[in-house]
Amino acid sequence: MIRNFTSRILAVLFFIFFCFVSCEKDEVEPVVEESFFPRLKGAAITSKDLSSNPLAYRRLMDYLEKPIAKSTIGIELDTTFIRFIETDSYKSYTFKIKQDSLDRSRTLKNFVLTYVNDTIQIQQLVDYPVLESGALDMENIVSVRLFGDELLNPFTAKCSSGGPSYYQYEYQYCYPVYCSISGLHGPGEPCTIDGVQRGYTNCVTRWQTVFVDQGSCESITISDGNPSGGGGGANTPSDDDDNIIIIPANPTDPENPCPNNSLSEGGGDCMIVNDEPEDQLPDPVINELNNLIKKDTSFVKIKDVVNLMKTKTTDSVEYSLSLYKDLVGGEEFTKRRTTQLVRHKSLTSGYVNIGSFDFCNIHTHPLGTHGMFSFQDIVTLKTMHDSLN
Amino acid sequence: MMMLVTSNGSVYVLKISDVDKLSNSINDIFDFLGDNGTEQQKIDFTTEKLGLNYDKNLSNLEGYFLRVFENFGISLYKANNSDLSDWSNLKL
Repeated sequence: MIRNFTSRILAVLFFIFFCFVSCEKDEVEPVVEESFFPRLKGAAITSKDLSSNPLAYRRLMDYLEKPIAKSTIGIELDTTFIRFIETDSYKSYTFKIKQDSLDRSRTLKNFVLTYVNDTIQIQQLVDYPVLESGALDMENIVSVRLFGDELLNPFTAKCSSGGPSYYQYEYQYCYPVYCSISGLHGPGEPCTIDGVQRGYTNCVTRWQTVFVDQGSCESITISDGNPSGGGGGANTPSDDDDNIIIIPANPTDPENPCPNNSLSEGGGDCMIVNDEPEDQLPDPVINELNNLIKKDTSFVKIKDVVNLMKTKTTDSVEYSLSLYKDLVGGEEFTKRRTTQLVRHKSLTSGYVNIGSFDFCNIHTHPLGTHGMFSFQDIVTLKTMHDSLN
Repeated sequence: MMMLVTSNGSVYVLKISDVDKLSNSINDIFDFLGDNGTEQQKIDFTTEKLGLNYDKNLSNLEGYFLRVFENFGISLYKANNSDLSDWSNLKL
């Protein structure tokens, strides 16, 4: 329902945008939206590396100097493998809590220590239930905040009279999973000519919001839990965005480590999260284009088609060519629907082959028309997609 | 995918990155335009409107396109050379 509402708002904005541009102003001021989620840097570190953050290091050393029994909840941390996450506003350290194999087979237990602006300390115990498949249940993460300055010693809380309030927002992160059989294919697109295997969209719970309230007693109140359930006497997030941080759900287990600058997805895979490496990753569509064009030796000769079309853009009609997938000797090839370019009747009218194997249309926008895709093109692209096997 | 060859020699590729988002966006435009008229008439109307605005943004058609269709679940690519061996994913 939220998506529908959002989409309708977008449709209204779409036309308002039109009107805004065409009726009132000659120039459009670009609207740049910043990502809702923080940019992250991440690394696997050890307790020694923590010394770069004096407060965190001191708190950890204080904890390690005590017998485990002194931790009122008897938790022992694995300090040989710590996942460090850094954003502009906070630094977060995730430890795996030592568990016996039986306990680990049911739950992955982490301790997350976060410092906001290098001063405010947040302690969280985060449990990830283990599914039958062995993957982590990212939809049922249990997060409990511990109060107090000392690590893992909740009874030293200065300001726990109100009790922790539970207020957690979970955000799913969805991304396309491309299949790479005979080219790269996005969500919904068939990977093979029989259409059995397709690209798909994978979603995992990746983020949670933590409300940071320093309160009147100079302690902090963190809310995490269920937004609908709430906790008794809970502080609820105000409209002050400065009090809200968004931290990643990053299950940490030294036996299944993820590379730097990546987050665990809970199922054994890791997802690179910060912008820099993402830009360095090969773009699957560009890979697909390169595969399409470089491997195009016998049937289509796309470069020739494009070069021929360039000579036709001064004609007063549109030209097009549709491409489809075909099996040749058990191998999938791209072929032309027609041997020649299709010459249409006018500047703006065209015909696009729609069918189970028709995955690509190339066409011209002749001189005097617009050098960009039309809305008709976009709708046709969607129709082509829907008709693919 | 859809490939476009323009009169100035540019070659673009349009690709769906999120089909649900695209579907919802198109349907919501149809809904927004009301019950009168066929779907094709609504496409033609929007195509014409878009074209009028292209006319006013000829100096930066790519940027205009990206802004208008920012939330439509589509990605725009442009060939950087006539050899079609180098492509850029155009972004705002």
